[in-house]
Amino acid sequence: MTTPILQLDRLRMVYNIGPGLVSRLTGRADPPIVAADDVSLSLYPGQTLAVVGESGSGKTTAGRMATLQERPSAGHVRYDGQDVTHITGAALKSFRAKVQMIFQNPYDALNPRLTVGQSLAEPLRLHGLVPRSGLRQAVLEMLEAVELRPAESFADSFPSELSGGQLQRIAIARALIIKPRVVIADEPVSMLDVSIRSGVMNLMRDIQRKTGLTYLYITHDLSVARYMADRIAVMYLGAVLEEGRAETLIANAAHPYTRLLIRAAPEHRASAGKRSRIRLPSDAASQVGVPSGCRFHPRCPLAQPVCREKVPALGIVGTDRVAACHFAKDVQVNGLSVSLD
Amino acid sequence: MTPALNRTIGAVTRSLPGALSLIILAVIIGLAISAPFLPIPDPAAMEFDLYQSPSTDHWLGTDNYGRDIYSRVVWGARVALTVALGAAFLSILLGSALGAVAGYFGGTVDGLLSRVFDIFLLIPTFFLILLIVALFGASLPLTIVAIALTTWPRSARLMRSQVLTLKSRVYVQAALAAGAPQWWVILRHVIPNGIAPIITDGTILMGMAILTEAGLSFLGLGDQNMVSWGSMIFEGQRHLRLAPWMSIAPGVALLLLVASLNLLGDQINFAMNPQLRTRGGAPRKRASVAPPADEPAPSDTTPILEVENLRLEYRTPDRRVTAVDGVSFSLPRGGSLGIVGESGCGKSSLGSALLQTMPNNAEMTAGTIRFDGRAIVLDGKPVVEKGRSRIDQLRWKRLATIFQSAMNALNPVTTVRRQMIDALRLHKPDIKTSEAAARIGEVFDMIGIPRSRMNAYPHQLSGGMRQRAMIALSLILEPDLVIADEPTTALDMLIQDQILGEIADLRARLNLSLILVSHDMGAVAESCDVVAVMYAGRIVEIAPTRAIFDNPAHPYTRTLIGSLPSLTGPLEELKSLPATETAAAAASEGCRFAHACPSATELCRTTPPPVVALSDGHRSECHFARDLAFADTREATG
Repeated sequence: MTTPILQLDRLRMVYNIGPGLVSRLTGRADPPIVAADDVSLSLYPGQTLAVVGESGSGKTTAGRMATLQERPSAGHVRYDGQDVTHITGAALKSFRAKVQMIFQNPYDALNPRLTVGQSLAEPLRLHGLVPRSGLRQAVLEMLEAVELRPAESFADSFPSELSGGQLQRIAIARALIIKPRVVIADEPVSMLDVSIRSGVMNLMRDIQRKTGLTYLYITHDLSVARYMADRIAVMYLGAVLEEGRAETLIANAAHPYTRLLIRAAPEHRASAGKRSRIRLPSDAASQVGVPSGCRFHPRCPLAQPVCREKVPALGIVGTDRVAACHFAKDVQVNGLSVSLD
Repeated sequence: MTPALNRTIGAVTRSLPGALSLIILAVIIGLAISAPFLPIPDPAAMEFDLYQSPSTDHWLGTDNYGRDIYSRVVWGARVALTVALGAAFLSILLGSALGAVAGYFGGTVDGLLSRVFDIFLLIPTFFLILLIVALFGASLPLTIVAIALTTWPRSARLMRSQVLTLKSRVYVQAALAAGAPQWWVILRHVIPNGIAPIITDGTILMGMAILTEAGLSFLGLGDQNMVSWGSMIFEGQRHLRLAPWMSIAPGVALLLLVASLNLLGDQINFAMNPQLRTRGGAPRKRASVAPPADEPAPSDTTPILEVENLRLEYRTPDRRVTAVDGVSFSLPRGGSLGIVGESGCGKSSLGSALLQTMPNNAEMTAGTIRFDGRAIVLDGKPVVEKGRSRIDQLRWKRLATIFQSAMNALNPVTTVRRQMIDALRLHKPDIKTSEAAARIGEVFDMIGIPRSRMNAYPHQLSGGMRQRAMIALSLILEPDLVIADEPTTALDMLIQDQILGEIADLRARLNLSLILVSHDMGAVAESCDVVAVMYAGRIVEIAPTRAIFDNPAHPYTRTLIGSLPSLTGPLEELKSLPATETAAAAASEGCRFAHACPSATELCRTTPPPVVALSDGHRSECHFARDLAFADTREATG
């Protein structure tokens, strides 16, 4: 396999909540929040890696560390083999030109006082990539590329005049206008209507096909991840539980959590019958005080005594696949109906 | 000029107080600017006719030195406006710069600067100004600086709180991610978007500055070489009996100017906060009707809910929006209906209309709702029986609701158990505490909340548990019908699935009827027998669940199904709609989906489609419903 273009190497992110007055008096301090615990992810050029997880899984933190919006407490971020974890100044600025971001909320993505054209021209001006006289032309070309036509009228409109789907296309245009090599997209379609969602996803795929862009696609929805990504990493409470090629991971998941996520996805296909549901022992998940042993054991329908005591390491479970479960091989073969003894 | 700014200016000029204050301000400013060119006497020129009452020669009379008061009032306006503009400008400049820095950088910088704001707020204005005047003598520029020095923390604190919210806005984050330096972000993205309320506050500041200057001049501490309204009032009060007009004229001028500034500030604030305009308003008294005389007694085959031609409109000051436009359906006892649609299609409005819990600016213009055979709404009017509306008697007891946001629906200051006992007592006043506790325990078991969590406060529960508590609360009185509006949307996948599973179990166990309002085709597919698809205020297709997925007979339904990614089956290119808004749909003459429909013809654009009945319980509003229903679905959903 080729070398990764962007690599997160054993990143840790710990937020210390300063002790409040009450806890200082009572002598009880809140434990620090571990938003990312030994997270390693690799982005290969021209491919999409989807990071899937529920709220509090650390998927957004992983994305923010990948763009250096937040610096990890430990570990390294490598871009093209270079360690960029602590770069500042001009080096940071040129990194930003190469690694761009698309955010979740399109309604808030553009400055309401600037026209779409002004917002799109901003990154070009910041990086001085296009002479002033060429800005307009570059903006119009970009609007065409995200299928907003007529480009002229979109360039002169204000964000309040546009719909959510149109705004998200413009946000994508702004991220792509300086021709980055990597784009981190944090739930870019989750706030859009279903029928608009697919249009934005198709657009992102088209652009990737044409330009060979690399995506880190953050989502809570496994089916969206399957549609968008070559590889999928499943995160839970700050750690990667399973990673592998999208199709094989979904067809043959090795972690009970992944299996549950697949089962929980509602099926609308005409061919699919009613699924049976498994009642989970608990549905609380909190980053404060990660459980001992396997972090998923309190909710795992297959949990055994060993899961409470020993942290499972990410082990190889197939070609180019890893999973962090003591019983990964069994789960791979028998799914959730496996009987463990 | 941004559209928002245009709208604000439009709203201010259209309102009566706004227009009035603008006219008064324009007159005063116009007079002040043109004072040197007006055919009025020199304000300092003394004549021998002292204490003249108002006349054609001297419109407002003359003072104790025989000076023309009208001319002095006009020249005094120049001083008042100079002070107002100067002090407000300085105060806003200093305040918003420091406020922005404090809010943006936070931490120690914020801590230090906030203390500075507090200290300056503590200094009594007059004390500081007296000090400055005593040290440096009385002069207009010094007065302006002194006023600005005591008022700037107002702007600073406003700007700080603005920036605190602005800096987490996505466009600020995006600019930083694009590589913009901090000063660029503050100047281009933060301050322009945070300045509006500070400018509004500026009009109030101007009024304060004018009053402060007048007060100083009244005390004889103003600039003696200038004509100030304050000093005119001071002189006037010494001759109050002899020549009352001496103080009345500048007094009225002062009142008018300050009042119109404050009024203008209020109006701008009102115009910029659309919530103050549309949401507000007291509940309007709605006309009600008596129950119809010939109402048959409900039987086992009576549908639990029947809706006929329901119409709901929202009123805003300048227009009416039809959210629900002629919806009819009927739900058999024990049945379940999913109402699916995208934002703005009217599904939540429909839900609130069924429960008669619409916001105050909503109005039902037509429609009949029957619950268990008894009309609760007739022709858009609530049915009242024995002084109480029928829906009030049914709500919660027989017709319960589950909201999307459990945190907002549960009372945060009492325990879950307490709230459930209160609900029970409200409808069964003589229930014993032990009985109530037993009933609550039962419901908790049913919905999967450990009994140990009964005495928890809502904030102590996780999101999933809170939603369960919300469901328990709606079930405690054993209703016949539950209306759930996006009950699991805010929850994580696994919990969402668990709760949908529990709702399905309960339905089977309690013979509950369910209406599930959702944007999620998948969730509805598994929980409901019948699915209704809404678009632009109408049910465009309704059918038994299997039929709607196997033979979708409306292009919109087909798009909705085809746009969902799946975990099974081959990967196919997803369908999508062009990113246009449904607002365009309501305006069109023909089919409201025609503007976005992939297969619209000329017929669709000109003629509204008929309701086509396809098979048992399958209706579609499309000219080509029959063709679609029998077309190959594999091609359609692919």
